[in-house]
Amino acid sequence: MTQSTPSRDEIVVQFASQVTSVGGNFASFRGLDAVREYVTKLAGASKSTRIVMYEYALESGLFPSGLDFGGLEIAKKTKLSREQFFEALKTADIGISPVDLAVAEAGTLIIVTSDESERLVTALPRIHVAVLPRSRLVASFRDAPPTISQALSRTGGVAVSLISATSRTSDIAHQLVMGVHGPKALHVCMVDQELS
Amino acid sequence: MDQVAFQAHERLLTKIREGLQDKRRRAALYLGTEGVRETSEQAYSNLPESESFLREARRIKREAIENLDQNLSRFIHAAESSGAKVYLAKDAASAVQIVLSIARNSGAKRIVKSKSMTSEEIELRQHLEHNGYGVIETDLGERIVQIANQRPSHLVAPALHMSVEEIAELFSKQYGRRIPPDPEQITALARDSLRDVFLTADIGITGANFAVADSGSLVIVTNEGNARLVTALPPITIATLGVEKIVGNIADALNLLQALVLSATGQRMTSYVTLVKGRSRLARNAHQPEQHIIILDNGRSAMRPDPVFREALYCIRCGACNDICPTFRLFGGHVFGHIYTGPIGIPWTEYTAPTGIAGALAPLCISCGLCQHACPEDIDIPFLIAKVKEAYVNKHGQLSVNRTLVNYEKLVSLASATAPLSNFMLRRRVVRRLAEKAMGIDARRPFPKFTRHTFKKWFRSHVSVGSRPVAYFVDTYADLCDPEIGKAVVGILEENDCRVSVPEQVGSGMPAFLYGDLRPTRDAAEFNVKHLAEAVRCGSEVVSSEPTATYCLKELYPRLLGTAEAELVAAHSRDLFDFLLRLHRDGKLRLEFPQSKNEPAAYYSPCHTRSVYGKSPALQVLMLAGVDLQTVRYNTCCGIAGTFGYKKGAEGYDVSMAIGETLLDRIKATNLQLVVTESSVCKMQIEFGTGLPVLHPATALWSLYESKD
Repeated sequence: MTQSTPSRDEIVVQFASQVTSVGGNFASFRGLDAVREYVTKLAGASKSTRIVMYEYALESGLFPSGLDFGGLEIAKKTKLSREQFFEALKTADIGISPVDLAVAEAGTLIIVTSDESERLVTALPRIHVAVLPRSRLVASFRDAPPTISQALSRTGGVAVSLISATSRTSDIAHQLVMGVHGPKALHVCMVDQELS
Repeated sequence: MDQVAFQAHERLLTKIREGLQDKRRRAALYLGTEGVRETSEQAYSNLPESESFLREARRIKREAIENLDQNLSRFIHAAESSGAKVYLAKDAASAVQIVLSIARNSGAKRIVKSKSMTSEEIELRQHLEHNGYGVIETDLGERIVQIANQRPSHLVAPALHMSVEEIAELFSKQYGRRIPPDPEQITALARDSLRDVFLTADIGITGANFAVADSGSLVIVTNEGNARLVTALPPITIATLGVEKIVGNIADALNLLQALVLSATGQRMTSYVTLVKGRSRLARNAHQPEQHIIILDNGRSAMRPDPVFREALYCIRCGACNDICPTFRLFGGHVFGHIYTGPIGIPWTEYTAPTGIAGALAPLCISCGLCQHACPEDIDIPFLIAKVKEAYVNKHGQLSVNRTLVNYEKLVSLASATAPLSNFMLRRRVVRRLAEKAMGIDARRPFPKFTRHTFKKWFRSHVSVGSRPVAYFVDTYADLCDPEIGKAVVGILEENDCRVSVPEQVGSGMPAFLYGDLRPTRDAAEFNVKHLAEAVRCGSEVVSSEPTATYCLKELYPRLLGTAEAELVAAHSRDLFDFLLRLHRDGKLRLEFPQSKNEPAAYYSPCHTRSVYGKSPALQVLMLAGVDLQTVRYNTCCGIAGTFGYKKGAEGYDVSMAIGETLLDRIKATNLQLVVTESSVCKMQIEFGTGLPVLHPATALWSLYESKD
């Protein structure tokens, strides 16, 4: 059996269809301005008042620090104590994270973190917005090991999170319920530009 | 059978009787297992064939177990370089001691857990609670069984056996207010009540689905996201994992991960997979969190050198064998399981739990072979269980009804030789009542009808002409009960230019295998292989019309004998219809019939066909021949399992009919007046359960060929 290499567009279509088939949202944007607008609208529609993200995301220029999101409060974790940080995360509505690599065949986001506060941004708020630079999308899990191995070869603690959908369970009577311990909604925003 | 085994057997029978009565539990189990099998099979069929991980899964585990020592030391080195403390625990007690001393030294009080079968194996939560620690399970299913003070009843879905009403009652009691039987509301309650538990826990305990040697990392799979919080928040984390979980590198882990998820839930990937290496700090907090990794042996190093049981270490705990197993689906893991549940639970219990527990549970396996087919690692679970049965029977003796049925093939030869008197006698009520009382054969189950005009006698005076030599393995039913099947097989083969021979042969030996008496099975295997190998060496292909016989020739005999001759016979043996399909692919199957008498029929694919071929060759050929068939899908066995369904009451018959209930209902619901299936025992179950006539596909096909004369 010959295997043709899928085109870039085919990969994007497959990825988007995987993400949406399990209840995620997918949107594609030219630049970060449009992402910002999307998140602002999302915040309004979901009655979100607190957004958390991590420093890397701030520094990336995605959301320049100080931007007020039209009145939304941004919890910047670096200035918080452990207790305050937990409090901020517990009450946060939206967590925004960048994506290091995405796998189209399973609609999987791969996010590398070396500070747990970063990982928790994708784990505790009820909405997760993941910003994926188009160049970081690959076709198959077979394309993933180099990125993961590189991440794991960093010194010190590292967490590599594979996120393919929202938090869910079928533990009760085989009935699907969303949002057990993690987000109830996932928004993947693909952008045509790099983050750093 | 000795007293110890007899008492254990009586306890099992009591549980079986209770299980059969428990309609609510049966409904819950059916819902979960059937649903997951459907989703999983669908998901697999959607994959492109080029997906390499399907073929890689077994190789990866085989190599991982082969290279276990190197992988282990690489893992320890890498994990320690990342700041982890790694411990090797030789048994459950020492693993528990390690956890207790970590907890004691740190002054910890509150512990959160994510789901881990290894922690169940060492009964960690119970030990911690006993020592005064507050332990909270955070996986919803685990939390439910914790509140219910039970054990998980399934490898993947711990509360599979419970209905939503039962769970709502439990939560109502636990939280002191009325919780409606609504999964959404129960889940919301669990989420809200566990948030602060995560944030304030001193220790987080997880298992690991895989450990990766080259980076010292752990892979933890969840859908709820609880393991992310358990590994991120507490100042101390402890992972307990079996030593067999270590694989070489991340590529191997990703391959196994995909197989695990597809088989366990039918998802393409779970919502979350967490890979952790060492501990990351929390918000640049000055405090460096601790990671402890406890690698458990507890019987695994005894499995590894064993040529048979080594394979059990390939298990990735997907639970597919639980979901597909006919008896597991009926009773769940509290009956069919000790800690590790279902089919693969038997060999695992044999090595990780006190002696005798696994052997007493093993009769729940009725050797349908479906678990191996569902297993992404292709573990020969039926054979492993047969070895557990054999060891138990050798030590404790055999149940008397099993002693009788081990000799099934001799008994049916006698019945055939004395037919029609035997048929008359076997239909007398007084005889049946006597057989039930004295031998434990259920009087409700009809016997097949025997004939003294056997197929083999007919074939002796038959002259076969053709250019392709084919050796026919007949097995007992087509020989002694319905020789028309055998004649149809010969007719079809000759229509397609085959020269048929019937080498010397005895019955397949499967009836003895079912009861763990492997000696007669081995004798039959040796005899059949010897004579069939001669035919193969003379250029013959071997065909069989009985799925169980094909299963024996292709899978069981080489496994049992381990000889090159058995491998040779296996490689050249196939189901009649697989043989015909191959002819068809070469353009050599004649499929024109002058007139097609085409009575529409329901088709059911027997377990042993599915276990050897997946997709039924008989169905494919009959469709090519234009037969109007409607497939009746059933993800498990019809229930009769050879002689199992003949045993009295809860010993066999009642279980058999309960397993078959849904299939029989589905067949009746087609409103068709004819059923086609190639297994003689499925035929008996379906005829008995539906009252409809059941045809062998060879008979059906032959009637088309014959229509031209």
